[in-house]
Amino acid sequence: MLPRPRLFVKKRGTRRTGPRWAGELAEGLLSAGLMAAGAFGLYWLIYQVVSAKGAGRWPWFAMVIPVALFVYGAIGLIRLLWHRSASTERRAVAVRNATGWELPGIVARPNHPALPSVPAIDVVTDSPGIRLAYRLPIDAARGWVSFTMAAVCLTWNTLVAVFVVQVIQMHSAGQPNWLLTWLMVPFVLGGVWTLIELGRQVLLNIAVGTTRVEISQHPFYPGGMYQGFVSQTGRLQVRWLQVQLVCDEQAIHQQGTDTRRAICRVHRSTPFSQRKFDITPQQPFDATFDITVPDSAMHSFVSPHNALMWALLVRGRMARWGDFERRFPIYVYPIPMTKTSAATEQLTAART
Amino acid sequence: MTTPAIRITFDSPSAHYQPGDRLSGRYMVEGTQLRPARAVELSVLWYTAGKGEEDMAVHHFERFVDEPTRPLDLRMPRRFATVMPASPLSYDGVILKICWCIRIRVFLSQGQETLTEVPFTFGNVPAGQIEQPIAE
Repeated sequence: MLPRPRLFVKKRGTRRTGPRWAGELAEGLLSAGLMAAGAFGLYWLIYQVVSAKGAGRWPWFAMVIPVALFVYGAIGLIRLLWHRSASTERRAVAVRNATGWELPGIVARPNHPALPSVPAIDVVTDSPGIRLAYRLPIDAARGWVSFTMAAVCLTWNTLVAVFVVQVIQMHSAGQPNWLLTWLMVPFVLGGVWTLIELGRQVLLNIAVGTTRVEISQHPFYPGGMYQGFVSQTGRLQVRWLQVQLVCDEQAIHQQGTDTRRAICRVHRSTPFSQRKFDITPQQPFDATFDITVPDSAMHSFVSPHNALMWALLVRGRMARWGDFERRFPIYVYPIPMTKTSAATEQLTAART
Repeated sequence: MTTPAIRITFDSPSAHYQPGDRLSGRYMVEGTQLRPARAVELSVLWYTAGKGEEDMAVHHFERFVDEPTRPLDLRMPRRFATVMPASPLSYDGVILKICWCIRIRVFLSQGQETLTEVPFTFGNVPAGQIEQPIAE
């Protein structure tokens, strides 16, 4: 007995709601249908252009639509056939070989170590420090938060302002719409809240000033000890300030139709901590500290849906401004291997 | 006929390797009533497990096809060998695990296939422990 089709079931996790072959058949039919529709549309347009006099240029431009349908369907069909005919591992090898090609015009990085799935350190070593060798770049996520808040605040308040102006005009014309007036109240309050939060964020950025972190060496290795330097500007009464070395696991997963990101901290140490001091614009706070990476540390890792990220966090609590945290990514590399050449020679000898 | 049993054995009894080590072993298909195989694929690969979507990458890949001049007899042990890369090391974290394994995929007649994988440890990284769940 064929399974009853379930159109309105929300798919969760990796559970399948039907047999695999049915999905592949439907995907193949859809791709073939798109190709057929594209071919028919192209034939019809060419026939129109050839037969009709004075048709103008529009049929030529309109050909983009059937061509796009045909190409999309063809790519879908080729992809489906490739998935059917080759195993997961064979496809992965083909992708690896394709991405490993040296394209003309792209300069290879001879000093870049061959470490699969370990992120490159170029973004960190590009910026030299003043006290120590490298100045760490700040995590860009913080800047995006401010930008998103500003964009939301601007869009929301512009829309609200349009309605508020109309409501005021109705009142001044002697034709008040009280339902619309009262409906506007929560929207106006929401707009005020976004303005307050944006203002607080901007003031916090100005008051706390810039945080500079420098390190003596990069990348880090498990068991290594390195020097660090932190500099904080602003006009602040600091309750406490810490520099933490942290390691976070990150996993991106699908939950139904949503894409979610889970983060779990698996290491935290505090190389520097100081309590109760003042920072003035004339006298920024400077401190040096030692960073020790644990012997058993896992190296930095990144893949399309998973990552293991190391970072230095500068955290503090200010008298008037509350808590703040700034993140500076660093990279921990696996200890360099020393026996590759010997093993390769053994392997070559075994093969010959 | 029954599904063939694939047997994989490492030369190193501990199945524990370090970066740059030579990983080697042999594999064979056991069973008297063996269906003819069209092809066999051997992969040394890593994949992620845990909360996130699975990622995988193949470090070493071999594929043998049954040909009239070179028939594929999987009852005879076949050797494999590769030099392990520098990374990623095996890792048993809280929401992320990196697992290395040898995977053998045998393609049988009539489009059927069978798969066996044997895990091994790469590196010496101990299991990660939860320090603080942050966000989801």
